[in-house]
Amino acid sequence: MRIEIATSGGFAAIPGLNSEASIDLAGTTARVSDKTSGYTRTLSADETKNVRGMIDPNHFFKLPTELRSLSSSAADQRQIDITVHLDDGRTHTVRASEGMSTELSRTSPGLGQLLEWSQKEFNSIREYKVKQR
Amino acid sequence: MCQAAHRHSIFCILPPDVLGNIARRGTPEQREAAIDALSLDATLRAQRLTFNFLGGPLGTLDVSGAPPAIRRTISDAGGTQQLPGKQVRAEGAPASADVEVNEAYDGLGDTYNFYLQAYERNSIDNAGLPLDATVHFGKKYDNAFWNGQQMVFGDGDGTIFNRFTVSLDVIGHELTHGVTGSEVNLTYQGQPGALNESVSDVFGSLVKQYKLKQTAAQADWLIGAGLLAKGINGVALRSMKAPGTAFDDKVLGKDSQPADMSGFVHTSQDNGGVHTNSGIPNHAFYLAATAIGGNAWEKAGQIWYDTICDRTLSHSATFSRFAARTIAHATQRYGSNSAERKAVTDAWRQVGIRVSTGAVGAVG
Repeated sequence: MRIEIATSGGFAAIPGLNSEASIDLAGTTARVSDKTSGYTRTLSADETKNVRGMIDPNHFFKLPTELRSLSSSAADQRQIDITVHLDDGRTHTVRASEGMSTELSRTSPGLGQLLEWSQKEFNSIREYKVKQR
Repeated sequence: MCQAAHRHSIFCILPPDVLGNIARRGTPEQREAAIDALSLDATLRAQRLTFNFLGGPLGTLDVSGAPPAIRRTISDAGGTQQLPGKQVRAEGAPASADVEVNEAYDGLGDTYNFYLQAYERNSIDNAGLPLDATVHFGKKYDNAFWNGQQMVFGDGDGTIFNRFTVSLDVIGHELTHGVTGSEVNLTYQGQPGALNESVSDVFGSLVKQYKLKQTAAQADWLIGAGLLAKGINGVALRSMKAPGTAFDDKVLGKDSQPADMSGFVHTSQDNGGVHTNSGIPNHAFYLAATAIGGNAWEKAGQIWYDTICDRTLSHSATFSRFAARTIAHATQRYGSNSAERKAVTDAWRQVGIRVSTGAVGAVG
């Protein structure tokens, strides 16, 4: 399984801060890489297991392509596009907004955890970009 | 004061059919959560029906005749992403030792006072809705947002961004998303989304100008001044006066906001570039306000405020349609041969939006 997570928007919405992380979960230790910066990180076996557990394909592939926030007037939340590629060739993309983890904890707890996990990873990618300056 | 009757957000969560599938086929925990969510959805729908019947906003009906009163609550997420977090300051409580708590509290107060004094609007819904905000959301969180119910502020990472409560216009921006949601509720995608963002920038800037008692000529017209950390080459996140010039930095890149339609950006990112193309209506407002002169909130701001309260403006309004309604409201307020109408018409023309006389129409 491979997961791609792309983020854009937010109040600042600066394109230079967008990230496109790819998580290859094929082995016992996953690897994260970001297309926009060259950032890479190898996850521990425990973290790999945790991330893999956040996506239940039977649930994820039934989700609509766009998850709406509790209110239609929500604004300035970053757009997060999550694409899951399965080994059998199936692919599905779900668009969510950060800050939805509280809502998702009720209906899609794994996805909510993935949003929180990706937030931390995007912070690391941002710090990497700053160091590369 | 807003002349039009109010319109309100339509609450929505996962589609009921998806929840229904989860309720039928999910694990026991998923089923329980889905059933809870379906119950909540049904409750919200029932509340909406009640609200529509009564003609007022959810839970804020006030028939006491009491004068408008602000009700602020600031909560602390403690570095988590769970909302609302722990309440740390309520209305009337003394200042906290936490600067972000106080900035959020004071910023909400300044924004509330601005809307009340400039447009006789009583809070987000014009019915005294309590103002809730959460600070310290997430770890090194580089964002602030409105989730449809409350404002949320991150601490910033300290390297690129300072804390998001540092700029009053940012707080005014977020609260204005609530105002827009209570009125025209412009769809957060494409051109209506860019208008939604622009309206928040416009009134966010006006909150600051009102607080500083600045005329249109004196204002900096910057959004997020003070937000960029030391070492970042930029003055703010956006410039309404000169879109595309707020920053040019090795990490951030160059400010990509267009000032007119020739630079309109087509993209699937950021809900169709809502924070990019907002530069066009932002610049139109700046041009109109500076051409009219004086305090921008008094005439240009009033025209824009009338427009977002206009029931004939649809959720999916384009730049052109929005521009037509601003001209109609300038005409209604100041006359068909007024300098104000001319300033607004010229401003839109300068950013590449031409509105025919026939498209303007009257104000109902």
